[in-house]
Amino acid sequence: MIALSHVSKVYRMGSVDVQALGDVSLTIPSGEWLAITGSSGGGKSTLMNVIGCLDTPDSGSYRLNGQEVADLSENDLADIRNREIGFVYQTFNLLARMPALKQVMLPMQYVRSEARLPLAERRDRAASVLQAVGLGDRLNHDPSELSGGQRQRVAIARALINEPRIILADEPTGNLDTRAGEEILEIFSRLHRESGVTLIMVTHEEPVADMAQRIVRMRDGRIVEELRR
Amino acid sequence: MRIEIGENLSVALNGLMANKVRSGLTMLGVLIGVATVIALLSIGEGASASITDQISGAGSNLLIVRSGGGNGRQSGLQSGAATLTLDDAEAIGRKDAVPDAVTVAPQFGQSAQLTFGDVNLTVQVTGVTPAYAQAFSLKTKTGSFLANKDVTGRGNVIVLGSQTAEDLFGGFDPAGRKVKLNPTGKAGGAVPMTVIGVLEEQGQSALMGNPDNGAFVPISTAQVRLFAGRDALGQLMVSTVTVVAGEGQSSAVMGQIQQLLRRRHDIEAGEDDDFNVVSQDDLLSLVGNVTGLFTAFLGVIAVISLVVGGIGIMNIMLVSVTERTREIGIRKAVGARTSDILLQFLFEAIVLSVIGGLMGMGTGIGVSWLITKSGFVTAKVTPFAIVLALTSALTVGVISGVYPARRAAALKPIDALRYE
Repeated sequence: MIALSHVSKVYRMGSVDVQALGDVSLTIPSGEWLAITGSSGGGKSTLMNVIGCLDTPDSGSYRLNGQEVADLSENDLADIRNREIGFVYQTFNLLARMPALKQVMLPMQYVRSEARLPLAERRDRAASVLQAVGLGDRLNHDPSELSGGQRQRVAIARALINEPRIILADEPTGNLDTRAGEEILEIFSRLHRESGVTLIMVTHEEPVADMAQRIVRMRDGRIVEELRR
Repeated sequence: MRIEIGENLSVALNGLMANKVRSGLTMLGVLIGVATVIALLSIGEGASASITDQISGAGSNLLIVRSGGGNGRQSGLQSGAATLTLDDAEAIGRKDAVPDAVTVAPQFGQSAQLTFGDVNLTVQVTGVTPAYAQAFSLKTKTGSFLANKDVTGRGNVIVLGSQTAEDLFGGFDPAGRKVKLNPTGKAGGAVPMTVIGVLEEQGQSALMGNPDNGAFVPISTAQVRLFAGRDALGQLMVSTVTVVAGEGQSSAVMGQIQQLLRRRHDIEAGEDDDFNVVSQDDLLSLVGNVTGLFTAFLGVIAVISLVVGGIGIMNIMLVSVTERTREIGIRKAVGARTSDILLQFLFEAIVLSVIGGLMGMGTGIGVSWLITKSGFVTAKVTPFAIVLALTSALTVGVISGVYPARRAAALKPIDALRYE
């Protein structure tokens, strides 16, 4: 359960203040597939970063599963990013010169000690998740040896590896051709259907947004339209 | 907080392997710094040690008494009397005057020509007593050193230095052979001397010259039969008296000798000595000052090279951390804490410094060995140099690795992720 109320965020770009989020209130129940659309610079990504605990709001309240995020320490936020949230980016954000298997194992390395798996089990689990996204034969390939669609699948596998309850996808098909994009969307669709995660996806493509249960349109840091399907 | 060494080590190794050139260059910086420090300090240490050895190798607690004042005053010669006589030496040897002297060895010598067959050789022939061998720890290779009866009997016997024997006789054992001894500047009158022993090779000594190139005869023979050993008053002269003091008694003995000789030579209070006494300690401390300066000089060069190497490491680490800001952002986005990032960079820096340091240690020891082999100077690798070099390398590596990592790790994940 994600509950934002009157959240604001101002960025300073040089000498100009940019209102990235202005008084945004939004509630996302567990298991929902929500699409966030709008023109670029409308605050979509900032909203995602706040929800994903990568960024903090200037004012307003953000409660994640009933817990006020502003009250949490940096280490708590790191643990939430690690366990509760999986992030998929437009630009993949994979580490250079690291094979797919190790990329996917990375979040497991930062699980706090009591719940951390032994290395061999981490390897097995990463391999099986990569298998599930169709990369069973690419385990030891570096990102530079993979196509865009394959890289995004590595990123999805990495986001899923710790079985988070929330998946955040920021323009996940933005850098892919149509066919690869469709394959990625198919993976998200199946994931939502089968595991019931909360899926929040930023997109500016109408057909992609249409796959969601609810669409929120943003402009100039505000929610201007909400469409339930 | 529990730190899993294995986990962190494997993360660090992965990080380092991801950029082999950068890691290699950083390691090279550490390697050169460490190798330079070890090699330079070893050379300094080796050079000081070899100089000190030359002085103290002759024996310990030695004092040398010579005629003539410290300022060149030779009152004895002006009055026709020798400033140092055999009686003086015997007086020094008496327990009531100089109680802390262990061995007293008077010497009287000159250069002379030795002849065997058709081989001629000019060497320093020193008249000594058996005490001389004790004072300088001389050992014979074949035969024996001079005995008391040779001195009392003014025997025509001679003990040869190893090189002298080699030059005169080549390979074979000269014991029992006769050589002709002809004092320099004295026409005719060659004296046949029986060789009774050959010394082991001793090497150069700062206090007695090089005994290998010399020859030794009884002091009485030297004074009476070979050279002009009497002064105008008919007293037997000695050129030098070597005194071995008891352990730690060097300065006491020096005082006792000065007091005794001033009294014997009728030197009034306020007048300068007509002899001088030098102790091995004096020489050692003088030389110690010089070699200490030399080692300090090399040490300064070593420290400069370490600082330069350290700046190089810090430079590469700074560039690397800046380059890896996005990596830090990605790691934080998937759940790494600030401390995880710091530990990763700390371990990377430690691994680089330790591997580079060990390789530098090997190189430094190798260079020292090569320098020793080349015969230029005997480099002496000390544990101090190794510990100093390794700890400095580790300190420099860790500081230069962690300082920039702290800045990057403190960034908000979103800022690190957005970093281009």
